[in-house]
Amino acid sequence: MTEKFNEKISAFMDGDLAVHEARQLVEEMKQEAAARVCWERYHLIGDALKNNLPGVMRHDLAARISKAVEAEPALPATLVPRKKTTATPSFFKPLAGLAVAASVAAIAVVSFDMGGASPTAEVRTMAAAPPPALPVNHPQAALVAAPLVVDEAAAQSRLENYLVNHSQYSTSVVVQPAVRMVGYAPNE
Amino acid sequence: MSLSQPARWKAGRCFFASHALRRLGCLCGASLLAAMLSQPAQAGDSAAEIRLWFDKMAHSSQKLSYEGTFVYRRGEQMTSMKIIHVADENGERERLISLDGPMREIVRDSRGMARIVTDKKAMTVDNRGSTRSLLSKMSEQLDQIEKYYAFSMGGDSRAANRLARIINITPRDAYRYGYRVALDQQTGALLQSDLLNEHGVPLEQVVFITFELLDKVPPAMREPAARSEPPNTQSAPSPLPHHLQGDEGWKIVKAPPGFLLAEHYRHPAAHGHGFMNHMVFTDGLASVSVFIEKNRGAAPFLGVSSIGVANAYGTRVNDHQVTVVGEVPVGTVEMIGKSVKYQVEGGAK
Repeated sequence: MTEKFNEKISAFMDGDLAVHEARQLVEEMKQEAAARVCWERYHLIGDALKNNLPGVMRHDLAARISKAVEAEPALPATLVPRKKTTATPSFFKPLAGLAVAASVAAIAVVSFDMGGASPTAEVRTMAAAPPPALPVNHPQAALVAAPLVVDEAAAQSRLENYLVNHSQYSTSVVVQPAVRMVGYAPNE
Repeated sequence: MSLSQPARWKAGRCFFASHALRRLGCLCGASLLAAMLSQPAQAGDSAAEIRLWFDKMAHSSQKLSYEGTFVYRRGEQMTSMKIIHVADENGERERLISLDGPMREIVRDSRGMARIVTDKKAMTVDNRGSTRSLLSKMSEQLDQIEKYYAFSMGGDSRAANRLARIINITPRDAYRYGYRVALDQQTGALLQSDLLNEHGVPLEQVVFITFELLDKVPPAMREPAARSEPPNTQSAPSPLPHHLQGDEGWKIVKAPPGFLLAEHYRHPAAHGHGFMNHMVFTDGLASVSVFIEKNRGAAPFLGVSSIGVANAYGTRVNDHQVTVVGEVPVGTVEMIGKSVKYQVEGGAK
């Protein structure tokens, strides 16, 4: 099974395949046991990252469903891929509400008051509806000041520099600094 | 290029989950996958048992020789890596290799010097002060950490096809995030760790997919990092961060409980003009960085922001830009940022 084939399976899971490609892929998966194992593996990885695995794992899923697949006359409706509205893998869906940038290098979501001036009325209208009020002394109270998006290259570059230094000179239970260094090693 | 200089993170180095998954599929079998079983905390949790586990974890992080592959996820970025860690009579060495995207690897020797090699360049950095895993310090500082976090056993689990034990670390207030770790039952090695936000959603994760103990130094550990180094790479160590003693007059008047000054560095400033101070505050688990640099005409940062999973707060103090950054709730960076004062002997300046 080729890497390209693996990528097709992954794209199918992400809803990134066109309908005719999906149909073709399912036909190929009927013939190719390794493809079905790959399909199962990708789902396991996603579920493990989400801690969504059940208490007891059955690793013979591919074998168990192979007979059912063989007996299936046509593409089941449930296998029709979603509309290509998002490239976000399905297992990251729970993160969608976090307002995190798509990557560390992405535009910072900031509520900076650039240059010391107050946000303009126009900018204020960009802000999302404020979340429910929190007690003033609550640490999350600052979130009430709804963020605005500023695509300001200098600000972004400066913040990234701070984040690089923070990541590499501070420790974490989750990850040692070296992992962050490899994850974000400067490449130029 | 020094690590202190800005690193440009290009789209090519943003490894989104689906890409990593596609490659990961070739790496691991279904049976090797972590099966994290969420079990409720068991009755009979004892401080002694938790301390035992953290002692085991600290020991394994320093004394164990192992090889493994893991997924590192930060926000929506994901990348997979291979790690070879050797601890023997010659000391502790480690090799960390990215398995997707542009080639990147770090070889760390027993002195703490790290050789970083990428597709385009290589450099040596001194990490003697920073690479010591927090894991090895945790058991020493457990009494202090317990003032701000509650520890509880979370039951049995499987990770990297090994039996694991879950420990939940829950913050006692809203100034810090929680953690969930899975420790190898045999060795105490950390097989999965999650940083959880206030809603319990993982912000940053390391998940081992394979993990094997080594009984001898593998050949890969003997290969020089330079085997694949690009030509014309710099070989001299990058400038060391200058350690400063004390706070140099910069005071955090009001920090959330438990956050104490752990390190104080001086780095070259972002764009090569002058220097910036970098203070690292920690409560034993979470770290917050405070950067202070003289205003040089650049637009100041004022207010709250977020970059990926980190939060930041910017303010101006004494004609300096002060920026607080950390994987902590926004209220924490804001409280620290708002309380930064410059005080020299004889009063505030």
